[in-house]
Amino acid sequence: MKDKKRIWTIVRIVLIVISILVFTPLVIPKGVYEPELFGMPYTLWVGMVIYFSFLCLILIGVSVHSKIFKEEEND
Amino acid sequence: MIKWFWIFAGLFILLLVAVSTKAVKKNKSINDFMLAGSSVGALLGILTYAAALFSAFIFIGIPDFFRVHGVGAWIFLAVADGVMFFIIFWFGYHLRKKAREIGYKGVAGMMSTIFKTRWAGTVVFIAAFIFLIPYVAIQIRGISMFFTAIFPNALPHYGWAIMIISIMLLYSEIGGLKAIVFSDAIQAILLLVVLSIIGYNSVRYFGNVEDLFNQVKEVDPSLLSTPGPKGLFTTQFLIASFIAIILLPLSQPQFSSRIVIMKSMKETYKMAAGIGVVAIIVFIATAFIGMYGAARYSDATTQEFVQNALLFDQPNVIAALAIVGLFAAVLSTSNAQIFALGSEFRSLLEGADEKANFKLTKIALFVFAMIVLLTSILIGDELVLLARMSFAGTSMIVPIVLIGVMSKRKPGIEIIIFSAMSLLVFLLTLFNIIPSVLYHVRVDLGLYILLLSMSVVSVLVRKTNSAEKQSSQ
Repeated sequence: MKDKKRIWTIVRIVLIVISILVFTPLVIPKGVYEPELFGMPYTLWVGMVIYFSFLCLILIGVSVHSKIFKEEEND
Repeated sequence: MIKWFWIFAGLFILLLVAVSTKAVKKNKSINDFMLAGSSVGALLGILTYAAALFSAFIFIGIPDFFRVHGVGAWIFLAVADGVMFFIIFWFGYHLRKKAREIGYKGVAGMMSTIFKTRWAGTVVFIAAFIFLIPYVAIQIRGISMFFTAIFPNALPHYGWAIMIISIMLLYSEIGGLKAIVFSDAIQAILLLVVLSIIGYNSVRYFGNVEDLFNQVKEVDPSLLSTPGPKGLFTTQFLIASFIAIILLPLSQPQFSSRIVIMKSMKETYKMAAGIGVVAIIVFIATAFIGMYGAARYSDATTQEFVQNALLFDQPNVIAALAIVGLFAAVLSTSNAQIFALGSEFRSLLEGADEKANFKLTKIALFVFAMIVLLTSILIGDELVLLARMSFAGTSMIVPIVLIGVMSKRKPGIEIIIFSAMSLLVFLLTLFNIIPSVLYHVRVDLGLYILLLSMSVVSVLVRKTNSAEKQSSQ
């Protein structure tokens, strides 16, 4: 249980850190579209990578959250 | 195309009748009618949430947003939605827990109970009413104008609007939320299929993804980075939009209610993860359709672009499916929001006579639908920006909902006052009575920072006071 709680905390921290990084020049450099990936401009492909990392966090989060907070209703 | 349109439209209407009939048979109580019996499974949950979220706003608005403002639209939409899907289960767990403890008819009623004052629920309802009506209306207007352009001799645009509202009212008044959930499922599947095919065709037209973006680069390289050709995607705009969008499960009742009506928390977890997977298809498709438009129709109006990209450049079968898909999209999103307003209204009604309250709710649904109809005839055309305004406006009441749901003790009335004042200030910026940027800071962003600070102070002070009281006893 302790490990799961630690993972849940890490997941939330990573989510917040990535969310902050999104609004820095690391993801949205003004007027810059290189380096490209498969022809896609930088902000778009990095944005896609970020979305997929959020998706991974959702899957990990769902898995640990459901074990930590077992609901009292009939599942 | 017309032949295919009538085939698909006929099938769609048949399906609507079938699901409404099924819903009527399943509705045994007022709770079944208003909250779909709180027994929605994961798959239906994913589809109904997707339908409520991915409306005409996604079908028409977002591709056009990519076309006009460039790839920053991905940050505006997809990144924010990614976090919002996380919040579905994170906040959803606490919302469902509170709903079990004190009962649930709507968020507004729930807040009145938690804060022990009707003002809490009233502020929540007013925010939903003020900001959902124009959002629904703009979608109906967009689709009505679109149909008028495709079928110029059939109906005037208000005729289409009346038809959409009438069908929506008919099956939501008969079948309730269950009928809406079933029709949402049909719409979501249609939307996914149509957008995927059109997205694929958009890339195929140029050969591959690289060639598509090379073409966009030749037309206008500023579309490939932020802030975009018109300078819309500034860091402040993106942050303020991000906050407004991630808070949707708390701020807009059609989303909160879709979390509460899930059969169990297990199904809610599956829904949150599932919608994250489904959404990526929608986001990638809309990005490619938008870039296709940027390369081929950079100087066209929104209407010209949508007609060409979604209809005239597509095979007849797909174009016909797209028209029915658009009709279904506006139908399900509108009724999700109007029905949510009805539920919120019902949750505020006092008195033990459930049947009388239910009758009043049905009348309220009709009145809301008529207000939407009138607004759709009178309103402007900026679909995405009006949607964003709706998200931002309703997010001003988030402190009430968040603290109300999470707090173990009665929250302070100051939270209601902060939220109501922020709502008022935001409204004044919309009417240009207060500038929307003050001292280089967007007012909506400033309001979020103020609301967060005041809410933290309120919670901490009340926590300290409560601890002092306990230790002195």
